[in-house]
This record gives sequence, structure tokens and C-alpha cells, in this order.
Amino acid sequence: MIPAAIVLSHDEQRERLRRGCPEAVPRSHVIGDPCADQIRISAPFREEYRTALGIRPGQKLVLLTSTWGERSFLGRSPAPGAPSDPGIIRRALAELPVDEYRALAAIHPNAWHWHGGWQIRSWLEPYIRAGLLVPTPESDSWKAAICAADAFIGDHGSLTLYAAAHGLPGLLASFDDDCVAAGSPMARLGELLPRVSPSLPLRQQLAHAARRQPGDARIARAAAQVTSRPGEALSRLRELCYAHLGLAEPVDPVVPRPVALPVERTAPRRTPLAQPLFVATRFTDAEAGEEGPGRPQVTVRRYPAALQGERGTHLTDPHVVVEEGEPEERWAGVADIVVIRRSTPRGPTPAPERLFTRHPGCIVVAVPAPAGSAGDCTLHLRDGREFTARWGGSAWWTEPAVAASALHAWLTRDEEDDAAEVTIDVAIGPEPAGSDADAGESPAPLPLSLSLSLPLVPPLPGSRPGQPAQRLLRLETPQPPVDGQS
Amino acid sequence: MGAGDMWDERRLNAFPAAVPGPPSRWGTVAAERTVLGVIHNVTSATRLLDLLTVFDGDPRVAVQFTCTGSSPFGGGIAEFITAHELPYVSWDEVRKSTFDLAISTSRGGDLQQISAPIIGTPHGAGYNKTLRREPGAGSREPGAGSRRLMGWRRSG
Repeated sequence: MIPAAIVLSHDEQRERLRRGCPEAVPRSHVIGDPCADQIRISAPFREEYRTALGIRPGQKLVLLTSTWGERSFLGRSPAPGAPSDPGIIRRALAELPVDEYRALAAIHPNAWHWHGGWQIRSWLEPYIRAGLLVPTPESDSWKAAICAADAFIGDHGSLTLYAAAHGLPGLLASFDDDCVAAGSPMARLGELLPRVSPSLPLRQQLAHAARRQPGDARIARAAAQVTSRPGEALSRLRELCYAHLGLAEPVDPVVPRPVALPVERTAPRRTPLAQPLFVATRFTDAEAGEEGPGRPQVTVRRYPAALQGERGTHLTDPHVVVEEGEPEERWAGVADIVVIRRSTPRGPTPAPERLFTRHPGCIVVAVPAPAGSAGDCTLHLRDGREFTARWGGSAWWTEPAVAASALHAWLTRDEEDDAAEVTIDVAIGPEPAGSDADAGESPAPLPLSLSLSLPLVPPLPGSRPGQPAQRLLRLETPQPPVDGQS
Repeated sequence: MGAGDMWDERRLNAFPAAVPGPPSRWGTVAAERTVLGVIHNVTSATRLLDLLTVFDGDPRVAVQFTCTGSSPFGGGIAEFITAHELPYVSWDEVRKSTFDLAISTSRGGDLQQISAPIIGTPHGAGYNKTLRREPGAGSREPGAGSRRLMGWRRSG
């Protein structure tokens, strides 16, 4: 059987063809790569792809790409029973704060269909619960994900090359040198891209890659080998096809179109219950600035509790947040904060009392304010005190759970203070510049820069059970102005 | 699932098969040429659909699909063909018919049984992998492996 035409995506392949099968060279046609072209022209629609995938403003999307076979990223991900190496998918979900990062697994269709989609999703279920997106691979979602992503962790599969060609910084979770053709761009990327380190925090490795790789001409050269006819693949292919068909090409040009927006369900089996979180907060006291006294700041970083295991060098002194109804005793019993769901009906027994009994370790119960007030809430303490928390601005993360964690940080700070009322700037994400591994290389993940105000009333020597004194905790931004209403 | 889930054309019984080859008098659009898209597995099929967009909007060209049945990764093909409403021609019919052009994004199967000029393309980012020499495995490097021109051996 003699093919009429052998389509290549880069001139470099013709040289390899010449070495391997010189008689085929006259039939070879370098047309470029239609997928690379499509990704390139889809790049301007990054925000649309991110929205369709459910990525929040400011979040970094990490693309986990796996080819098929036992030496692939997925094939090399150890079972949960291996405490010494929890696997990189687990690490990505465990070590990257949930508010700042999302992860999407792009699985090769050969792996997907060999095992079955149900099986793949079942194996990944603990990570899906923690927020991992797992689109069905036959869709265009991998291309949309590359456009939407900020970084990738891959292997020797094609998506590594497409992602690198798109300019994404990346790490290699595995790489099968044995099956990669010598002299191919993939082989070169295998030499150039850093392997995931088992000992360094993943966030630090991604930050390092994001700092170093964009300026690395060697990576750019290797990745550019995805096509030597950028933008031309479809028109060259059409020319080739119509020449064989003996037809004149249509008058209208054929041009790559932007990748369709992913609409399929990327998060199957949605749960009504928020996952238990380990929350690390960092309290910084107010510092006087040129514009008068500043505000204390709290940075909140949240991580899936269920994936932490024995590791956790990325976590110091976290508190545990669960939602009311958490079924796992290992989290319910140790929760520091319990958040009542907005849909909880008001029963005869006040919910806070009920929950302090149910959760022996709990010190804060957050009760959402009535619908329409965004993340405002009442925060009940075990000692009977009560705070009213109000956000002065709104973002997707200004929710009662974050207000409760900010209060937790305020209450557990080192110094005591008798202020009746306080305003705290609350941030999800990088800590103040200079104190964080990646604060310098990326803008604040949430540019809304909401602030939190925490008004405190004086101490409560005369308070009696049943007559709890009330403190006022307010969460405010500078704009709109604080109106003082509780 | 897994190894036992090979491609089985009979799973498409419920789906109306395309009439192979040139248009018959029962057709509505009388295309002048017929192109055969060759599916090996879902991976190659997704790329195939990307490539076949070159025929969008041209009623002179009809596209039909077949599956070689050669790939170990046969799972999901029937669902893919059904979901995308691909006009399907059985491999047996393909062997008895003539097409004006065939496009194949993988190298497996008895492609020599197709009566048509064949355009072979990669289904990934160029040619980066060499497959280990196992039964049914070939090479995805351009020209590596077979001396019968371009490694047109089974590679799934």
C-alpha cells in the first residue's frame, strides 16, 4: 500500500523521514498543525474559556495532561496507599490553595476509553471532590483548557508540546524516554522542562517555572517545532485534498475557527456539601502609612482537608472549616469553624447551640445573613459572643466561611486589643510582597482587594449566659464607604 | 471495559449505515466526490474531524467514515460515531467500494484494502513517539519501521 501523500507538520520531520525512509520524501507535504493554529487563534478568547470552565477571576488554572500507557502521567500516579509518594495529581490538589488555583486533567482518549470514563472518574473522585475538572477527552476541551491555563504539568504526550508551544510554563510529572523519537521536539522538551521535584512545594516549582521559562529561548525553539507553517495548516491541507479530488477549491478561504466553548459537564456528581478545608491564615497588624493608620490584614489560604495526609510542609497551623452536615467524623469532630448552609431551616433549637454540641472542637459557627446580603453573616462564638460580619464589597469568595476564618485569625492573633470595632483587609492568595514565595511574580490573584473591618466592643465581664454581649465584626472595602450599619 | 472492549461493528446496527461510494438516485445532495475518513480509535477520530473541516460548506464533496477495527483502543468508537452522527460504512463495504480520497490519521489496519489515494496525517503534535515492537504496534515516526514506505504498519 502506497500512500498518496504523507502530511507533516514541520520541515524537521522531513529530515527524519529522509533518514528513515527516503523513498517517501517525494510524497511528503509539510502543512503545519491545525490544532496549533486553532489554539493560536483562540488565545484572545482566554477569558471566555475560563468562564466556561468555571475558573474564577484571578485563579490560576493548572493543566494536568496525561498521555496513555503505564509510563504516562496518569499511569505513574501512585495509589493513595503510598505515603512516601502521594502522586502528583494528589499533590496538585493538596498543595495548591483552592481559592487561587484550579486544576484540570486532560486525559488521553486511549487511556479514557481503555478503562472507561466511569472508571477514570472513579479513580479521580477524591480529586474531583477537591475541585479537579475532568472533561471527556473527545471534546475540544483540551484546547480550550490550554487557552485558559496558566501552567501545565505533563508528560511525553502531545499536549505537553501544544501547551509549551502556547507559551505555558510547565513541569514534567513523568517522561518515557524510551518511546520518544530521538531528535523530535518532544525529546528536546524532555531535556529542557523541569521534572516535578518530590521534595519542593509544588507551588514553588510552578512559580519558578513561571519566572524562568517564558524567557527560555531553548524551550521556545523546541516548542516552535509544533508547526513550521503557522496559520496555514487547513488551507494547505485543503489544497492537497482538492488536488487529489480533481476539484477546484471553493472560493471562500478556509480558516481555523476559535475552539468551541466547553459546555459539557466537567464536574459530574456535584455534591450539596462543601468540602472540609484546612485554612491557613496570616495576620498582619495595622501599620501607619502616609495616609494615616492602616488596617490589619488577614490572608486566607484554604486547602482540601481530605488530601493532606502526612505531608503538609505548605501548611502551618491550619484551622479546620466544615459545613453543617459534614458526614466524616474525622473532620466534624475537629472542626474549628462550622458554616451553616443558607438553606438550613430555622428550627426550635438555635442552630449555633446545636452545632457547638455536635462539633466539640468548634469555636465559631457562621450563620449566613438572609439571602441578598452576599457573604454577610453572624458569627457565634462558643462563649456566647456574637459578631455581625459585613462585606463592604463582593467577590466570589466573600462568603461566610472566609469571614469566619478571618475572625478566627483576629481572635487568635498574638496581642489583645479592646477596640470595639475593627476593619480588616482580607485577602485570598499571595501574602504581602516579600513574605511569599510567589508574591513577586504574579499580580494579586484577587485584584478587587476587598478589605475586612472587624469592629470590637469592650470586654465582657458582666455577660451572662443567655444574654450574650454583642460585638460587631464588619468586613468592608474602602469603597463604598462604611456606613456603620450592623 | 479495557482489553475486552474491542471495536465491534455490530454495535452500530441500530444506526443507519451510509451507502458507500458515489451518490445513488435515492440521495438528496448529489455530491461529485466521496471522501472516506478512516477511524482507528477515538483519538484518531477527533483529529480526523478537525481535518475534515476543510470540506465544510462544499456540497460537491460527501464524506463517509469507516473503522479499521485494528486498534486496541476500540472503546468509545461506536458512541463517538453515533454522537457525531457520522455516516458510517462497514469495513467490508469499504473493501468492495471505491472512493475518491481517503484520509487516515493513524497507520494501523489494512489500509491497502482501501481503493482510494490515501492522505496520511499525524493525530498528535507531529511525530514524536516510537511504539514498542509488539504485535499490532508500529512506529509513529515518519518513515520509521517498515520498509513498505512510511511505516504503514499497524499502530492502532
